[in-house]
Amino acid sequence: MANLAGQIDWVTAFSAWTGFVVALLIFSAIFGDHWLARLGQSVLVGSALGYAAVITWHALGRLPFVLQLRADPMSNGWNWIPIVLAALLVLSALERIFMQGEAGPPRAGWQHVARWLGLLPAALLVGAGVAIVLFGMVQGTLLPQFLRAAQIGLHANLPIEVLLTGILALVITASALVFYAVDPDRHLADQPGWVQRFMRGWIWVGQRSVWLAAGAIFARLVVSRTSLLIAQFAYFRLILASTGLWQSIEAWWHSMTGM
Amino acid sequence: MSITCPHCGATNPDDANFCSRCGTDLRTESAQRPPSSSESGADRSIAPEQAEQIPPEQGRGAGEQPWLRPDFLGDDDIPFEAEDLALGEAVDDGVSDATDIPVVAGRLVSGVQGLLEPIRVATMPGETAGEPSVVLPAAPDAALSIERLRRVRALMGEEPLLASARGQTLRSRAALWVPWIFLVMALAVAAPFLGIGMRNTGTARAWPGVGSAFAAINHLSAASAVQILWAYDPATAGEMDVVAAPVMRHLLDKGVRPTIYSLLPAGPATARRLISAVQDQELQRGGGLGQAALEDVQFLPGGVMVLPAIAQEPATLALVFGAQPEDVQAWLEQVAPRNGAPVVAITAAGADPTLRPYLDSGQLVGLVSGFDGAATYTALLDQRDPTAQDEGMKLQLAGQNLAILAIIGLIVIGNFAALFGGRRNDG
Repeated sequence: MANLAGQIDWVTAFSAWTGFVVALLIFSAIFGDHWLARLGQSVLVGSALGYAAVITWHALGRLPFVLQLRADPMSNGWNWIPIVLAALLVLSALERIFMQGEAGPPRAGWQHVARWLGLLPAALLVGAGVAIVLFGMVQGTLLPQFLRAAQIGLHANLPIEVLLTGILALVITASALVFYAVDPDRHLADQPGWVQRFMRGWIWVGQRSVWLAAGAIFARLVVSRTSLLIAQFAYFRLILASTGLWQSIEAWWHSMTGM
Repeated sequence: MSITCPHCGATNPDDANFCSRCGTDLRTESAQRPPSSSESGADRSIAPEQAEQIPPEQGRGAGEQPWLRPDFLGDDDIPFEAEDLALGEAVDDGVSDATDIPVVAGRLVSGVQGLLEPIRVATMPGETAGEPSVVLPAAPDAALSIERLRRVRALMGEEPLLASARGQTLRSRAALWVPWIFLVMALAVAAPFLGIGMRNTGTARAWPGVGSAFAAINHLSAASAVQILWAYDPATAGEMDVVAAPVMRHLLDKGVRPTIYSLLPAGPATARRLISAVQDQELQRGGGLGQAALEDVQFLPGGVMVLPAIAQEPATLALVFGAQPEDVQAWLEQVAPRNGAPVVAITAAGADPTLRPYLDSGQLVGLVSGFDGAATYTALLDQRDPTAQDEGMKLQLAGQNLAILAIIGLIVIGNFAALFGGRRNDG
């Protein structure tokens, strides 16, 4: 909030200067890996992780089965299963965390047990996750996209740009697939010369297609990030100029330089 | 004291557990300990017998910042030269399978944002070809063999598959002075503050999908059940807030009380902050907006696996505010087929190409992406000329235009470097 003089309150000013300093620390990584850049990274990562940990802990406490357990621990025995599995996973994770840096097979018996017990909930987690993702991928992406592609046909009434786009998409997709799937040394070594030339041509096109696609996505990303960077500098210029510290520095500079 | 990453060659502190550059797990025997003074920094990760094959001028000191050197791209592929020499001879001798040729660990493309998993491309002498990387890669390339990965790397390094080009050595690789990249990008960032490019930012591009997104939200009423997946947090809020603000303003203007879910811990806070900012802005303009259901913003732990539970709630319209295309895809795969609600995606510019097919197939009824999408949506919402933009949007569009010019400039510079650099070396 700004007062009549255009200055902002000290909380906002402190936040603005802190953000500016941390941003400079992160930028300093351009000049090399040094403790200042690491400090900025640590502050950002640490605060984000800390906030995430607190929010996650609170969210877990509001899950329906947790609320039931808190109200009546013996109401439903099935509610204890996630708790037990989570405890096993946490135990296994803690063992690995505290034993980090000592790679190799576990030494003590309890370490063996902890790691083995952690495998069950991890397997359930991974298995259920993979199943959900795979099923969703088929029903949400592969099937609809395939059906949509199958609806597009070649006929005389198609606008020329649609026709060319479709042909180009087909050529690029096929050549990219060939590029990733065919190894000329292994798959083409025993093929006739004309087959080798034909397939190598496809692979060549596929390679360039992958470059173009990756480059286009990367370029758009760079464009948007550069624009954001400019906006961030503008924001800093605006907000810092409203702080008392900036005005003090400005006054000092005027007194020193006479400008 | 320092430790060299066996994957990318980066120097890390002695107590580092993971490489700061590529993320390789350093807690294994393959990680190199501090070198002797006679070794150069760049060839620490190779066997002594192979160091002799590498030209002396390719060696570099440990403490240098390799990306500031004029031949940075060449230095990265020092092992590639040894590999090329060995492979060229092997191919000339008719050896088709090069897996038994000892080659040196090199660096595959580490990713646009440095987020791809490191992949062990080649083997050290004495290792078997099939030894997996110490870090299990999550990328699809994990299914490829070492030899396949080596070939992919060779192909990505601009080496054509024609046999006549296999003899190319490192010296013919184009040398791009990397500071050019920093200089051009710095000019693009500084230009708006010097007034360059601010006078005529042009008209935002009206991408397909913005109009239909506007129409879908315009048909809502105060009684409509709207679900929102808030899939961005402060890390990506810089761009996403600009895109999400006009859409949220439209929703609040219609009196809709959406149910907001987030799979990110910081998502609810980001949502509340944006909604409050939009409401404050409208108050300053003299308008008023309906109170959003700020208390109905839920963080759901569990990731994608929790989405099918959301599908049990009926909805008139679903909106996904996501910086990554995967967030929109997850909703389209897990929720939309179950509850049948039409979906509008509000996303970042980088995610747009991946989501266009979903708009074309009808799975998305609207797509608002990037600053262009935000400017077009705002123009539709305020029913004004798209060229009349506020100062904030002008700055964003100017920055976007200058960044595009910078990238074109870098492509031109890079091509000149390849053209004249190759000729000079061949000559």
